[in-house]
Amino acid sequence: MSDTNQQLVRNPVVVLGACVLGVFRYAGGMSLLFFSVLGTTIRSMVSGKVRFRWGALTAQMVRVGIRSMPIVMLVQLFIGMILTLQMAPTLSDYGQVDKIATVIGISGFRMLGPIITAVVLSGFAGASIAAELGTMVVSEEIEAMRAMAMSPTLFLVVPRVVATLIMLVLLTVIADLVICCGGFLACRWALGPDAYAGYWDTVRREVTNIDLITGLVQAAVFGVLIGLIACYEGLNVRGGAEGVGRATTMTVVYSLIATIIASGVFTVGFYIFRV
Amino acid sequence: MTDHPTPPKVDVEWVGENVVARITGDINATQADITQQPLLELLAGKPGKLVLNFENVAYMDSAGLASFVKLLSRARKNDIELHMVALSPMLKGLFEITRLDTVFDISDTEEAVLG
Amino acid sequence: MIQAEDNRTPIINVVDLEKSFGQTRVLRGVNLEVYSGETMVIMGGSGCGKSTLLRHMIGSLTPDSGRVELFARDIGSLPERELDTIRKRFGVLFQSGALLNSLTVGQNVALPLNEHRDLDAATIDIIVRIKLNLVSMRHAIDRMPAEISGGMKKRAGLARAIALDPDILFYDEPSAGLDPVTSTQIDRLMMDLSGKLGVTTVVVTHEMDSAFRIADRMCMLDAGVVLKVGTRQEFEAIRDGDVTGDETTDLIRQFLRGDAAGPITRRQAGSEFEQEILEAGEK
Repeated sequence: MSDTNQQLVRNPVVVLGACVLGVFRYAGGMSLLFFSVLGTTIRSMVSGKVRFRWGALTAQMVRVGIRSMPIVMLVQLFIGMILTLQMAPTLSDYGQVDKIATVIGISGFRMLGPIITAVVLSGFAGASIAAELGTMVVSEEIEAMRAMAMSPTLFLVVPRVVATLIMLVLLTVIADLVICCGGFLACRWALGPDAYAGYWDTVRREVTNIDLITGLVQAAVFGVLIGLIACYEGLNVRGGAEGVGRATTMTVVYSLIATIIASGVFTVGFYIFRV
Repeated sequence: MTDHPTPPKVDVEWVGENVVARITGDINATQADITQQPLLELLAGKPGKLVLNFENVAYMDSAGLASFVKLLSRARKNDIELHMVALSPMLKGLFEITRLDTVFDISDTEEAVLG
Repeated sequence: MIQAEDNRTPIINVVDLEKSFGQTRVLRGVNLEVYSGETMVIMGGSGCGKSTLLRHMIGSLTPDSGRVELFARDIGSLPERELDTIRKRFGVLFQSGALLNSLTVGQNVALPLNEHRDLDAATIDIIVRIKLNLVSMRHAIDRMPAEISGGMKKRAGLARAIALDPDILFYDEPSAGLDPVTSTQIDRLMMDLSGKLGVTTVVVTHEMDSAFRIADRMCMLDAGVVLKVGTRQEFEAIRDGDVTGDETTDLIRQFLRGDAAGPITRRQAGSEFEQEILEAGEK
């Protein structure tokens, strides 16, 4: 064991190779899971043979969405207020405090709404999904389901991924509004009438449908990513309780990385195509 | 043995105020209803005893078993005695292992019940 | 029952099965045939590969090479959906019972019926009660798995395994972690299911009392290879006989008797210890 470690340290090529292989293996596993989820979802919607589990879906939506709603709202309220107070001094130097509403509105709808909600959800729902499925692996429940000819993808993964997708989109809508409220409250309490008098009119005028939709599209993709990563980590737990802990941590880490990378890709795309 | 079951069949014979139903074939999940329907109709005829002859039943699964539990509940409610006769060793084993032999009246022959 | 085995086709057929996890070769060419209606007990020490062998037979693992046939179909090469039709014909009792923790005991037993049988709720309810009564768990129908003991979980797991009236039952360490009375009860149930209903039974265990109670035939596994397959009587003869001088037979004998001295112990001690400790001393 220590021998191989030393070799790795000595040979950066080996380390790099191992990393690249690891990334490919992970991406491969995730893609397989994604296509199996997609296939199962479509088949269960279209064919009569495989029933879509509506009951499981609603249960997961409650667990993923409703329970994380208070935290999402709290965080987003503060984000709105903090952002406002951070830019207020600079903007007031130029006599532009009325532009606060524009900045809050657009950055909230396009970026902060979906991203911050995704961050909260990966820590909250992602971690708990990974822990739950991981525990089911350890207690042989997943293997028992397979042996009973019940597909874990249909019964467990699909409801969780679809639920994170739907709830992240819905929570993002709420988050968008809460950020604007946060901004307004900060203006109302800390800044003058210049900042808050025309606040809501400005938000309504400056924020377009495109801003809303680009945000929601991102939220949907983040939702699928978080759901998939959590299920993948959970179902691939090895080595008992310790493995469950590792899966939970890695779910949060990978979800954050995936969210940020996806958001970057989207932003570049939106910028290039002027969306 | 569950793949190609013989479709079940019920032959009915009235003996005085009692009725004997001789069942032929396997009784499993998909076919329990086929035997169930005529037997329920027999209960409507208000016999004193309903005797089920299983001489030609080789196999019965849990769903089949459950269908006879339902029949027994119905018979008891209508004050009709339900008897089972001529069970193969496999069926006897099934009733013993599920402890339903204490719930149902099981005899060796029709004569033992009717005579 | 066992004499005519040569002209029967086995219901389970394991052929040249090999499996490695990383560098460890867990199964190194295992061959085993199980015939319809018999009870086969697979024994061996920890890490001999008996659990891995079982996991291949129930389709949880796929072989590196070789094959596992159930009902004359190679389950390693079947697509998932066809494998599922075979899975509905066997039941598995996992070591921990493997109940779904989000469902009650009754719901767990009803699960395979709800999923795979087109039955009305009343019929399913009757079947669930019959199966739970079979394992003396009628009173626990509405309990959650977290609220019941390990032995009860195992019994409920058995009720679920027989929900669909399977042709084959697999048991993974059925007596592990049970008190002697419950363990004997489970043995009795296993014998009833195979004796009265003709269910083919495969048991993985290292509890010798239980093994000799239930087995028609036995298989001794060691370090990923089959040492011996034979009738219970043959194994009893080895257990009760004298040391033969034949390494394999003596190894089986030591395992069956649970002796402290014998080939297994010699192998564990090894001859490298002296060399190892002296090398450590030189540093």
